[in-house]
Order: sequence, then structure tokens, then C-alpha cells
Amino acid sequence: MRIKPARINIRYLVAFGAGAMIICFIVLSLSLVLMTKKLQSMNNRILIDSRALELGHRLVIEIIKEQSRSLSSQVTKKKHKSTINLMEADKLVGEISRISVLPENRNVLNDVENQYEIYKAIKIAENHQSVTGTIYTADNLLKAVENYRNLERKQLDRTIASSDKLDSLIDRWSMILIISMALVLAAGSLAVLNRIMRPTYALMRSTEKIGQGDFFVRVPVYHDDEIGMLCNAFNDMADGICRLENERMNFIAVIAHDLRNPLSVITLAARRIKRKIPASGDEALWLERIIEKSEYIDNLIGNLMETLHLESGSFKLQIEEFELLSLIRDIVKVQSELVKNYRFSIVGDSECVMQGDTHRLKRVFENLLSNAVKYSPENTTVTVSVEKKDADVSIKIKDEGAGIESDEIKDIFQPFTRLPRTEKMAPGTGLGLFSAKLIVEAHDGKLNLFGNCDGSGTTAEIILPLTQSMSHG
Amino acid sequence: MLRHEKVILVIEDEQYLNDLICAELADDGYRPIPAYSGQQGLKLAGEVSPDLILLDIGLPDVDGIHVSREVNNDELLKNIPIIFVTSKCDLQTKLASFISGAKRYITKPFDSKYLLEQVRFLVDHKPESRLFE
Repeated sequence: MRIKPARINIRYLVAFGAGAMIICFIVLSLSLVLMTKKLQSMNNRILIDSRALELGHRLVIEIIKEQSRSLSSQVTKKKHKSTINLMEADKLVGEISRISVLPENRNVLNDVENQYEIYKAIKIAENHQSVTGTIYTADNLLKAVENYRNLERKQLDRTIASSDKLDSLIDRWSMILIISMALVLAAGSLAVLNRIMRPTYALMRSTEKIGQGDFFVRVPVYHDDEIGMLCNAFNDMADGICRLENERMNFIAVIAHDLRNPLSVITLAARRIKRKIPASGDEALWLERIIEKSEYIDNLIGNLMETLHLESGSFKLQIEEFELLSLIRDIVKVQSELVKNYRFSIVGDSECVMQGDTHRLKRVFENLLSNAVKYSPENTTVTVSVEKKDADVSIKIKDEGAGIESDEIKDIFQPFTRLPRTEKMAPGTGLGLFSAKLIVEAHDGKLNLFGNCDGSGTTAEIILPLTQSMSHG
Repeated sequence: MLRHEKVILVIEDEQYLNDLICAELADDGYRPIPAYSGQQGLKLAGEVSPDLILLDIGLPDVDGIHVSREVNNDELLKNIPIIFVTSKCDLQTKLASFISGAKRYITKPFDSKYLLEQVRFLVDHKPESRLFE
């Protein structure tokens, strides 16, 4: 099947998100930069105004000092020598007019300059001979300076107030920037989680399940995007695997079925010959071997068909109530009649009524018991113990045989697998344990093997729930 | 030797197997009639009205279930007991065969002793009632 192209591309979604974030960031940052610049110029203004205030203050002091000197020289009749103090005042007036750039201050400043020039002219003309002329001009000058200082003070107050306003605005904008970035990031993360992580985890879980052999698992397709495409492709692949698996099973079933006709001819013919012609010596032996091997092939085909049936998951358990210990006693009795040189012991005397598919569970117990015998030397004991554990029952079959290594346990449950170490000890198809595990698992139970090769043998443990859910019936 | 003198129709497409079954039946005193396809079997059944039919499921023309159904729908033939002898062992086929009117179901490969026991039982006894009417 051709994969339909996605309607929404995650590529575009990510690009859109990133673009939105960048634009948001740039706009907010630019406004912050502009506001900071404005704040800076306000700070400069505050500095200049403060400086102007300070200079005005110093000028007032200089004039008062000068006036005081004039007065004291009048009183002491001593000639005032220095004009340095006026030079200081000159410098102050010059600096004030240099830093005052605002046009609205210009008039007041001009007044200060004019008054100062008048004061200076009269001062020089009087040359400390009289203070009467300068008293008036000094008053005027002080008033002009005071006016100027008042203006500057108001200016300063205004600037500080607007600077405070701007400062709190910047704080607000910064907060908005941080919150909006956090929101965009959170929304982006949620979108990524929803669009990418959720389907990715679903895909991962389904892949694991397929790896474990559950070919019926499918991934939900959450969105029509690239990951959705991947999920669709995955589901198509799973369909393909299911188809192949079905074909494989059908193929094996057809071959097994087709083998049975010629096998019937061989077995029937061999038995007929055996009955009709009393063969003796070698011939009888060979005829017996033909019959024996035909039966073995028939058994193998039977096991193969049963395994396929179990593996396909299409079989239904025939659940009924039974007494576990008496079932085990029956199986052990039959087994002990078949093999004479082994001892069997059953541990667990309390009754254990449980539910399950008796026919199939019987096959499991038979298989495990026959394994215990096959891979143990003669004159050893096989112990079957039954123990109830809450809602489960544990059945242990312990032998004193060849044992099993922990790294062999995983392989031994694979179909057609036999351990090279013990293969020669007894014939087998390598399907017994595989089928047993499938049957036990169909009962929601567990089949485990324990043991090692130090002569302590192998223990097979089956854990089965005492009751079965209705879905099995 | 022909103490039963009963006629058994053997519908089996595998010739060697058909021969063997016929030989075993003949040894046991029956008169076997071989048929190698469903249509041939139905034709022979109408002609000889056998005492029992041994029937395979996988036949070259029509399947055994169909043959069994035809036999059971025929007023003259419907009391003839049918034993399925087949290599199919799934539950659905078994169920379908019993619904079509079969009395026994034997899976291949089988023991001739068991087959003869079943034949003897069905031929010697009065016809059992059908499992599914």
C-alpha cells in the first residue's frame, strides 16, 4: 500500500512555533531596548538638572560671600583687593549657561546672565567704595538665580517622576516578556509532547510487542502528520507480517496434511505385511522399524499441527472443573507403568479443585513428566509437588537428571529447539516445551524451568490460577 | 469367508490407500467397492446401495462433506452410515462432518484394527439416530 502524504507537516509546525517565538522575542526586546535608552536620557537630564541646581546654589553663595566681603571692607575702610571671587562667579555663570540647553529655561537663564552682568559692571565701577548700588543689583541677581533654580527644581521633579514611571513600565514589560516566553515554551512543549512523544511511545510499545511475537498489535494514528505516516506504515508492515505468518501456517498445515495420506499408506501397508507374512530375523526388525518411524512421523505431524493451532491463538480452552491431585496421580500412574526403572513421588495431600482445559493440561503434565524421565538416569526419583498459593497453584516436577544451565532455559522454549548437550539422550521433536508453555500461558499461568548441571537435576514449575475467567470458555 | 456379505463403499482418491482399505475390508469378509472421486462415489452409492460408506474429505471434485450431505438428503440412501476417514483434524471440519450426517470420524494415519472395529459396529448394529437432525 502506498503511504498517503501527511496533511500537516511537523516540520512546518516546528518552524511556525520557532518563528513565532523569535518574532515575539524580537518585538519585546526592541521595546525594552528603546525604553532603556529613554531611561538613560532621563538619567542624563536628572544629572544635568542636579548639576545646574548645584551651580546655582554655589553662585548664590559666591554672591553672598562677595557682598559680605564688600560690607566688611566698608566697615574696616580697607580696600578690597581681590577680584578672584568674581572670577569664580564668572566660571559658575559660564558653566550654567553651557549645561542649560532646554529652550524653555533660556529666558530665565538670560535674565540670570543679564543681572549678573549688571551686578558685575556696578561692582567694578564701585570698586568696593560703596555697597548701596550693588545691594539692589545683588538682590535682583539672587532673585534671578532663585527663579532659575526653582525652574530647574521643578524640571528635576518632573524628570524623576517620569523616570519612575518608565522604570515601572520596564519592569512590567520585562515581566510580560518572561511570562510570554514561558507560555510560548510551555505551549510548544505541550504541542511537541502531543504530536511527537505520545505516538512515539505508542510506536515503541507496539514494536516491542511485535518483537515478542504478538503480530496482531496495531498503533493508533493520532495525527495526520509525519509520525502519523510512520504509524500507518508500521500498521501496514504489521498487516504484512500477519499475512506472511498466516501463509506460513497454511503452508505448514497443507504440507502436514499432505504428508498424512502417504504416511497412512506406509503404516497400513507395513502393518498388513507384518500380519500376513510372518517375517523373521532381520526382515521382521526392519518392518518393525518402518512402523516405528512412521508412527514417529505421525506423532511429529500431530505435534506440529497442534503447535500451529496453539500458536495461531485461534483455539479455545475447554474449561471444566477438576481435582488436580487425582489428575496428576492418574498421569503418574500411567507413566510409572511405562517406565519401570524410575521412582515417582507425589507431595501435597490436600485437595485442590481448580478450573482449566483438562485435556490440554494433561498433555502439559505428561510432557514434563516424560522429559523428567527422558533426561534422567535410571533408578532416580521424579518428584511432583503441588502447593496452593493464594489464588494460584504451583506444580513442581523435579528430577535428578542432566539439569539445565540458566543460559539454556531461554532457548529450550523455542520451537524445534533441542539442547546439543542432551539431544542424544532421547528422541524428541523440540515442540513439547513450546506447546506446553503456550497452553500454560493460555490459562494465564507461567511455566518456568530451574536447575543447573551439578547433578541436582531440573525443576519445572507451573503456576496456574485456580479459576479461569469466562473469556476462555 | 463372506460371512457378512455386506457392501462397503470406499470413497478415497489416494489409490494405494483405497486399495489397502479395500484389502483390509475384504480380509474381514466385506465386499468393498472403491470410488476415487465424490461424483463417482455418489453414482455408485445410488447403484449399489451400500451398507456403509467410508469417505475422505479432500476429494478431487466435490468435498466429502458435500457427498455426505447428498447421501443424507436422499430418501433411499439416508440410512447408510458414513465414516469419515481424513487427515483433517480441526474442530470446524469435524463439526461440519457430523452436521452433514457422519457417524464416525477417523483421522489418518489410522490403525486398520480400529477402522474395522468401527465398521463392524456400525454395520452389525441397528442404525443409530443422527447426531444432528
